[in-house]
Amino acid sequence: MELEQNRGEFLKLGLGLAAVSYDSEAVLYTFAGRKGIHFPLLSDQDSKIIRELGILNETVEKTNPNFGIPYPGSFVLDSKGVIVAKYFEDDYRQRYTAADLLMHQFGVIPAQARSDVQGKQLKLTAAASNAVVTVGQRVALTLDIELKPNMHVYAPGVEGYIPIDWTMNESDAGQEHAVSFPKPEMLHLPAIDETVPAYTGRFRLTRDVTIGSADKVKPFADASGYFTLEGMLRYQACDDRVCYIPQNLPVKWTLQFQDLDRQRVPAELQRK
Amino acid sequence: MLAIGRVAVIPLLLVCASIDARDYGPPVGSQMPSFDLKDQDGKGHTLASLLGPKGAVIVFFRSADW
Repeated sequence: MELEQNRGEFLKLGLGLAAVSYDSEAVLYTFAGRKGIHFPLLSDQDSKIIRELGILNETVEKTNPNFGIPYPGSFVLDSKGVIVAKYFEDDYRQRYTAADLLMHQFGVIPAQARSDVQGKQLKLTAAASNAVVTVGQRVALTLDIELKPNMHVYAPGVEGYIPIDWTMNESDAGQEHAVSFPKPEMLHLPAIDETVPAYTGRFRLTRDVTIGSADKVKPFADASGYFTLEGMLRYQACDDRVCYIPQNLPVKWTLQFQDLDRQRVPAELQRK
Repeated sequence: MLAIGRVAVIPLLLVCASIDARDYGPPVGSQMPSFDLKDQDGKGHTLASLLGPKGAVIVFFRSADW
């Protein structure tokens, strides 16, 4: 279970961790045992805290055994219990992974699905928050870019130059979200006496991808479930004298798709 | 009538564009309400007991069963 896999990172960061559902303690005990979970799974069987937080899913019929479920998501709290961030998806079938949250919220560098690419004027490492993915998970892709000394590239919004841009090839396997660019520096170019938004040295670009359903991903996956998400980094690098030919650098991530875990608890524990 | 119709539509579209993502739960900056819930081993946890030196992450999920 992905949250359990990342439990050590939360501990290292000094963060408490707990998950809450409307399941009974017995259901949670069975689930924790089967999955080897070692952090608290809290039973809010009457959906009391779910209701108090205003996250009760009211689109479910009251007569349905599933009534009482929350909209799925996470609250990030500071040491006093104040909410500092929320990670909720509009589409209940999609959910942020713990590793995606750790990357966005705490800058934890993903170490999975890594590949190094050497380009002209720069090199980069592509990585993902999760190397093993399943249906509906929202994971983070990163590009850690290192420019050669004296080089700069242009940030989005620049005029007259080609800004850095990261596009993803259209794929049913994953639906990409917008790129997150770091704040650029305003670089003064003495040779032409202009100030432009640019990046120098090392910087990171990130974007999330929501993994598709099994029938969308499987056509792209091999027998072991491996599939790739591919894209392109376009940029124009300049030093203090010249601008070089714009480059298109292919980038890719190899992920492994796993089916959803559909195993249920014994019938006598199931909610009626 | 046509001109009036077009003018009326544009402000409505602008309003819709700004509220396309629903905001779930109490607002950022507010205090998480206290609670006292039992875990899978029958052990009780309060908000206070879960908070670490740097805070906590509380994940709400639909079900451990289905």
